[in-house]
Amino acid sequence: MSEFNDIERRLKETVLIHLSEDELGAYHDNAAHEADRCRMENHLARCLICSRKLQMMQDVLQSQGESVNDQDIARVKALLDSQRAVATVVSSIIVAFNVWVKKRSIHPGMRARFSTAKVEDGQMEDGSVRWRYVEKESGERIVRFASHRVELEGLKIMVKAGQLSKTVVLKPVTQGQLGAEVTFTSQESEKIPAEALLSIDVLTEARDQPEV
Amino acid sequence: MPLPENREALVIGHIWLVKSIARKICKIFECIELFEDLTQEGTIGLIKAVDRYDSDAGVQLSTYAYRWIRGGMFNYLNKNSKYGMKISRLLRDRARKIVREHDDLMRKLGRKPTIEEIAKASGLKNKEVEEGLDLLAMSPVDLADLGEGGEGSFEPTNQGLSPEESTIRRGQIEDVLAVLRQFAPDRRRALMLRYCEDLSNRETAEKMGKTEGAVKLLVHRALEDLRKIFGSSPAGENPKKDSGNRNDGGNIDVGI
Repeated sequence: MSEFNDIERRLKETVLIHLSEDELGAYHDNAAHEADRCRMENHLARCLICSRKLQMMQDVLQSQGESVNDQDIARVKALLDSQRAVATVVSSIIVAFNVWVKKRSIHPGMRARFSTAKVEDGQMEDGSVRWRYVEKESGERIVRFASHRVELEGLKIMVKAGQLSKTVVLKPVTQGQLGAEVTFTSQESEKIPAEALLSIDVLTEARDQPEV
Repeated sequence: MPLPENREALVIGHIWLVKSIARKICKIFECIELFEDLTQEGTIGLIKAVDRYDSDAGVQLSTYAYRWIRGGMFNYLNKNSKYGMKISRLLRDRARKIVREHDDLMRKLGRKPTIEEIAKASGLKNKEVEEGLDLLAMSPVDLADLGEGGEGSFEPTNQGLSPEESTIRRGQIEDVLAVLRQFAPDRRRALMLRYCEDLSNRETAEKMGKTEGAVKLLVHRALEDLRKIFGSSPAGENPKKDSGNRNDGGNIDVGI
């Protein structure tokens, strides 16, 4: 039998694989399982890069020397307040759309049949987000959103019609004005059944991992 | 997500961490004028961390938030025309080169390479290596994700492998590591002590508080399972020769 077969070589070389950010965090907090600590310790013993990453983490996490001033607290409160405002607007959009649909006595819930009218407007109760549904003679269907609430920049809205769905993001169009537009081309519109429902959903949490 | 009042208290209670990281990044990039902006972006990262934190995972909130805060700050720097280009260039060129030479040396020497050794191998100045290492240490990017799958991390130039072969080889090792993570802790530990720490069966048994025979059996069965999964066999041995000898009927038992 070969003394150093392929699996054994691979096992020995696992020690050369750099530690992930999660592994470094677990190692730092002593939360790594003993079985994994063995590889981590052996890797750290021979890897300058990972040991410096760990050292940097230790330096920062053990510093605690930075004082917190009133400006910091005001910043946190402002950020949390603006998040709460966005959350309120998001729920308002859903409620307002619901009301709009109900007023037209079309369908309960968040869905509405495509209107036979060429143009249909809707808006939130406080008017901060407005939308217009347009059906062109060519068959193209467009939903336009507009808002004067600049803190809603980045708000993702999904418009679904039958099997088709499109997502748009509220972006600045002019100073102090946000806008977004969803278009279903005439070819796409042909695929939407006559009885199809239009739905508008607001997507708030698109990211789950820190991105660089 | 914590209650609103707890959320605010948790965020305020960790502002020191945001400022501390912002200070380090300003030092690395010599951009003290961005301290306030970085603190703002880092605070947004901290709020996200507080909202997503799961204390059952075993790490402390500050450790968990450390990556989110750096992520927010690096996102901001990346969008900044001046510093974004600098980071991109440093990560793409210098840092990757440092990682490649570092890993070659680590493999060859079996120990931590020194800054001088990396500088000599890469043709960079000691100061440039220092800067690159600082950037790598602060970056929230996993080294394996450092562009093109972190190629270079396993590029053993002295072994005559092409970059493609070394990438495959690295993939093979990562596959083994992924399977190992599903093994029962005892099996995983026995294998790691035997192969990462190079201990004998007797020394492994002593460390694990088991008999030598028990360790031999753990290691033998674990290797057997790995060979079945990866289709590898020791030289001259038919991998199927002993299949069926196991009382599990030859099924892959990862010992979970």
